[in-house]
Amino acid sequence: MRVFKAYFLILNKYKGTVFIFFAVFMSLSLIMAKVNGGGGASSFQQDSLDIAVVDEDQGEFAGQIREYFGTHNQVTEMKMDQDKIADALYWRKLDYVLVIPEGTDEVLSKGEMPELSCMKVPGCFDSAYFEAALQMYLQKMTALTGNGISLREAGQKLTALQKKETKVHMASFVNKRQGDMSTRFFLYVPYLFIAVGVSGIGLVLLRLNRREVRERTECSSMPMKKRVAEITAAVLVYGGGLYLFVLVAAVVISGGSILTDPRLPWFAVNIFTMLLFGLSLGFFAGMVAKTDDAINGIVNVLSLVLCFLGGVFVPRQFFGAGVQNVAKIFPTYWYVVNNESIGAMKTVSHTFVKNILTQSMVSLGYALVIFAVTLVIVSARRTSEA
Amino acid sequence: MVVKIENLVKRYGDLVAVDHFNLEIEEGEIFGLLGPNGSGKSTTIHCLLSLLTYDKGHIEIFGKEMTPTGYDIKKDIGIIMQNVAVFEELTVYENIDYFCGLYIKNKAERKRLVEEAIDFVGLTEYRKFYPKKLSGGLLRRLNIACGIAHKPKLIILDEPTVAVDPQSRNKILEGIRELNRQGATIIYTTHYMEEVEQICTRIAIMDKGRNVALGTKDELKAMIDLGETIQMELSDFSEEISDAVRALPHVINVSFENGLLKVRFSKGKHNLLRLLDLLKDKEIVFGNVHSELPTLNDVFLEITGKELRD
Repeated sequence: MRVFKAYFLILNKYKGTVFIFFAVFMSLSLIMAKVNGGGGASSFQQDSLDIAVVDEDQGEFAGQIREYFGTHNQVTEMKMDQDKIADALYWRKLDYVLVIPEGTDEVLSKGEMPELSCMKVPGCFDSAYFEAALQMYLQKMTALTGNGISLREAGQKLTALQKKETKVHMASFVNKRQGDMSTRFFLYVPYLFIAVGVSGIGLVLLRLNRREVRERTECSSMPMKKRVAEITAAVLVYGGGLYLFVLVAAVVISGGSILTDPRLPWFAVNIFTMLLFGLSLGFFAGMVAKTDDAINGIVNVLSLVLCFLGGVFVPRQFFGAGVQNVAKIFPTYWYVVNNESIGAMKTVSHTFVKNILTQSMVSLGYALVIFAVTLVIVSARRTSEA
Repeated sequence: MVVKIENLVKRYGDLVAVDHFNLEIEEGEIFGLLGPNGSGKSTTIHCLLSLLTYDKGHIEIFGKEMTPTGYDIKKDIGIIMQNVAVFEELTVYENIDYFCGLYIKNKAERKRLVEEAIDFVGLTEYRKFYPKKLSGGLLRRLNIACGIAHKPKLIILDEPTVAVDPQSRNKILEGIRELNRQGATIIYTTHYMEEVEQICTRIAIMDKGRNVALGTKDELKAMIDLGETIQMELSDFSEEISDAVRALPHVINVSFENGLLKVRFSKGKHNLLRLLDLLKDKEIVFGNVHSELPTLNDVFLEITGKELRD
């Protein structure tokens, strides 16, 4: 079992790369599995700041500021009193104090940027946000006053714009698709199988197929059939390990409840077909790619594109009909459809079984086609080399 | 007979890489396959090992026809190619163990053979090193160890000393001689004539895929007219002197470049004495006189009309 053993010795050198993909998968799936999908929409709210304005100019601008920023914040007026302001900032009664110096109205009326000063809580992110908004407001204001619009009229226009509300509608499918913890966990499995499949198999096969090594191996007395059998065995053991890892992780995450869940065999079938797809991609990458960069490119492009468009990372309902139709050519799309069906399963009907098996055939079909295409490419390459 | 190649032809489209090549190598030889880059040496070796298909001809190793599935023949062959064929991810020991393991199943025997190979190439203190930590010369030694650990009867080395420092080169050449002393038949391809002269018992010179000369180094040198080349530094050289030198017996040609006179003589006695007498008569000051017997490069030059390293 020299080749079999060498496979894992080489793979051991790339455990860091493979571990990164495991870490990404586990982080994603654990976070998403544990997240309660119901809380997001109702907890959406806007943060507001406590802002004080010290108006030393006694002009129009202070009023405009209060009105504009008062829409979403608590804006009050106060006199310049250093001790009082410091106390208010220290006890977090105020987030930000804006000082409008004398002559500000006059500067603004000319369309020029005034020099304002401030006092704020150090290191406060909200203050930075307010300063950015204030800067934007001043730019708009000076743009208007610079074009001959009066300070009052410019202020009113900007406040009117600010009061227009953006309505946010939460898509109902965002929560529906998430299903229970197990369904959410299995949703991210394609990423693991594609990324770890391609890197773990591709990188090793690339080494075993390097021309010099391959020639030395072909000149040895080990029959080619035995070498191929050992490599196949190594890939299957690797794939089996991945499969077991996912199942064990599902058991751990569900606290063991998945073991008595009637959906488990169907989840297992669904991830098995995706595993074969991932392994076939790894075989393709290892036999066809010529460099590590090519393998890494294949890992990144395929895992992200297939998972993104297939609906693993983002609910496919977010995409337009055109994109969804294109996504149907990807096995990840059908994996996600299956995962949702299995997640929502109440009873095992004939239609359910038929749909799951039919849709699983897509991944299986892809795996076979990729395997066959790889063999054709390798054969053609060998013929041209000979 | 260890190797027998009959009428081998290998074409790449219109290019004939190996052209009706014939060769027989006896047991115990260190056989040199010498030729410039592109002369067909590596292609011949690849055909010999069934790594390449060929258009015509017949190849036998150990009296049996060589085929890609000739595993009973392959078990007694070791190859060391020009490019280092090891895994960057395995240590020196693991690499040798892996390639030896392709031949030897028995773990205890393999362990012994791997240890012997490490010791033979002088990598004992580097056994746990990864290849990228080895210098170019040590890497070549590892490459050799991977090819010989299973104690093959026939060892094929395809330009194993390319880009190797002189110290490692000498170590490698000495190692090849030692392997031969231990009973292995060696096929050694190179374009370095000095190496071939140094270690090979018989030599074939290849050009354009053909075997242009075959024999021991003395036999090859005897094939050509050149007897010796005499070089000397001259203070003065004119057309008159040139004509006088050319008129001496056995002179093949005369050249003068950068103050250095180079006269090629065919086989004959007292060539140097006659030349010195002539220069003395003409009262020409000379210095740094050097006489050189024919090299394999001279053989190649005379047969093909070009230098080995053209």
